Amino acid sequence: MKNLLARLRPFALIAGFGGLVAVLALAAVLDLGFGQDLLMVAPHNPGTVEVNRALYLEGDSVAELYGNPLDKPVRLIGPDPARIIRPQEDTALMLFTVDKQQGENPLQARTVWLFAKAAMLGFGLLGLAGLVFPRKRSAPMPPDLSRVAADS
Amino acid sequence: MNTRKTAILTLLMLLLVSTGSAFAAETTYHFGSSPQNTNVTFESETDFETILGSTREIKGKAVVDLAAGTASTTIEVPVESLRTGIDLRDKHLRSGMWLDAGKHPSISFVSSSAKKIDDTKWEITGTFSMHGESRELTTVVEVRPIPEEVAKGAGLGKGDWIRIVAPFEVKLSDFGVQIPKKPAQRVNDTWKVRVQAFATTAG
Repeated sequence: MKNLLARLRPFALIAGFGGLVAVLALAAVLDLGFGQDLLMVAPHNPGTVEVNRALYLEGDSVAELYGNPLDKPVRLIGPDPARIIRPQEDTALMLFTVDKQQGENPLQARTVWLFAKAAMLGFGLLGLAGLVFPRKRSAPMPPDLSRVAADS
Repeated sequence: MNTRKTAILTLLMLLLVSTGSAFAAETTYHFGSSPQNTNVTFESETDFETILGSTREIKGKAVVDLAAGTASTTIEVPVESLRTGIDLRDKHLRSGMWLDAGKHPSISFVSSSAKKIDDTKWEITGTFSMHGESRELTTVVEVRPIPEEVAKGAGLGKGDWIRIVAPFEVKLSDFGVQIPKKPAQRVNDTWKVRVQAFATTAG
């Protein structure tokens, strides 16, 4: 058993701490490189948008003209730029249409981080286990024959 | 003589009916005739993800007198029609563990009182029913008539149209829906619901 753990030690150390760093790097790259804060809306159909814009009064929610919005923006990973709306009424606003009726489900940064944290915990534990595992014993040295001869 | 009497009486009755209808401004609007113009959404926010679900199916009516400021409404949404973007999650949502569409096929709201706040906003109180449980719910609903030319331009079809927008919150545990332990961190007990729907007098 000791032998087996000793043999697994380098694997646990490399896979554990290497995996931890790799997952952290991957999640960070996805978030920082491909993440974008957008206000998701369940889109209205074009006819509804037309009516909403005709009924629009100053002070009305601009996002609601285009769809039913979430409460606040969500950080999405790699959102399709074609689905981003910049309303004429407020060009600073960035809406992202998500049609649940079509089974759309964009990847959210917080989901990536939650999975990354779980994976990092697993890899970290594996790395720590590697530290605790016994080291492989080095092969015994051959007897010093000259000393044996001298003694005799 | 009898024929004359009958004719006068009929004329009087017609006059009465027409005068009556001219003053009665109570109008019945029907929901559900244009699902493409209906958008009902619910939102659950947790540290794990924000779930956005929706349906375009709604049934019911609103009896509104815009001038007098009186209104009543009944609205129904079939549980089977709710979609969250993931088929397996939808299946769970409809299952006995959650909304139990088999036993309780619809979510409904029946108003009991309505108070006009201003030209477009109404405070509506009523009974919200889900999962076999009912609770009183009060929300501010925006009601706007859609001008005829706008309705025509958008291809809405016959009748006079109104648009309603109603946001409100629903606490699942109040309706006997217990979130199973495993997805508890993924689903919030409070859902934010938003309804935008068009209704027409042409039922």
